[in-house]
Amino acid sequence: MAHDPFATLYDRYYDGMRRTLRCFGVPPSALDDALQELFLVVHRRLREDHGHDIPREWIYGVARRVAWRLHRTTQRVGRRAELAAVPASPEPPDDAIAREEAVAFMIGFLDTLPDEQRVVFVLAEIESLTAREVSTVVDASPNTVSSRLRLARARFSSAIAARQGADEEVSSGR
Amino acid sequence: MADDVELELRRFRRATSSTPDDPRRRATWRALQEKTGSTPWRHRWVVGALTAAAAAVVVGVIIESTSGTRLDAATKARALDHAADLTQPAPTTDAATLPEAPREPSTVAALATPTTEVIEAPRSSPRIPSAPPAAPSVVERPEDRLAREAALIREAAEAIDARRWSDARTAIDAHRAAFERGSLAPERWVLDVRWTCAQQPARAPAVARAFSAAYPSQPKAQRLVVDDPCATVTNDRGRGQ
Repeated sequence: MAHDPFATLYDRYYDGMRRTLRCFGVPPSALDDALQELFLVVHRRLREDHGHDIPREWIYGVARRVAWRLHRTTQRVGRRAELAAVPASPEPPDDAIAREEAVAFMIGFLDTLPDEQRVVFVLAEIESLTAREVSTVVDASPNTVSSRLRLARARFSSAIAARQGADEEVSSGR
Repeated sequence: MADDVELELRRFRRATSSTPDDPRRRATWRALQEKTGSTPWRHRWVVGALTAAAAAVVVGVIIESTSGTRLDAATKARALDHAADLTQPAPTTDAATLPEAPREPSTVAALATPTTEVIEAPRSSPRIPSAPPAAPSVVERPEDRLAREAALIREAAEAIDARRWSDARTAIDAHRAAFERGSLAPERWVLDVRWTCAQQPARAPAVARAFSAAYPSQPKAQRLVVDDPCATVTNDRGRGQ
């Protein structure tokens, strides 16, 4: 068992951070670099705090800043094409296709949102942060967060409905 | 429509989850170990290469001295292969569980600088080093795996009891990521329902249905779907179930 607090944090947050960085617009080709950068910051904070637990919202705040910086440097290099790409995996083709579809739909939807709604939606809906935590990350009042989240949720519902409508059209041969 | 939203969110979370053995996850961890001053792999391969060379010389000398004949190329090759086998690194646990090596002074100094520097002015783009040959795989003992599961479940339950909702969510998600269908997955689902009842009660029926779909033979899952899930988990909690 690992009792190294950094290893514990890495295990706990790896998936969430990878997903969040991607949702914040980091292209797949830059994800590994971004993750390293993020976890190095976490490592340093852990050393400064002598291994004390780090608030979750602080880590997501770092993810947001890392993504923002990388986003600026990569947005001119065919980002949309990259975002749709999912690395090949050894899993069965059906599973891989389902994963690709889920990821492509979500990233495609997030790309339609204004940045302030996108961040709130990712943190609250995908990562299940509480309203207070989201407020801390985005440095906005809870009311503002709620308002942005409500708008983003409505758009998400519409996107799902639109996709279902399109699927039905295809299946009925229209 | 709320169910569709919940379903889509879960699909996405599942699609972006990894296992502890995920190669990218392990590669990133190894790279971090290098950058934070813990370099077990690099040291191991340097030591391994030197040991292999020394062992090859020793094996060759022994064979030549005991047989008293000159070795042909094939025999030498076999001896070298044997020497390489003898010097393979000992099986090790997951890289994520390796203890940290002492840090180099320069790294410690770098770590003491203000946090924002790394974000705002990275001096060079961090790169994953070329992957070393695959480590000998070690299958985790079932009791160790169960202990890891139990620790996460206990952490989640204690956090819920203490109303530390963020910690509870993190522990539940960590268990799902590492043990999607683990031995204690049904317990995780129940905790997930409890968390959802406390934080997002409108979603509790959807979570209960997802639990039921994942574990159709679990009586508890069926009860949560048939009855009010929040009332059921609260009552069961009161009865100590």
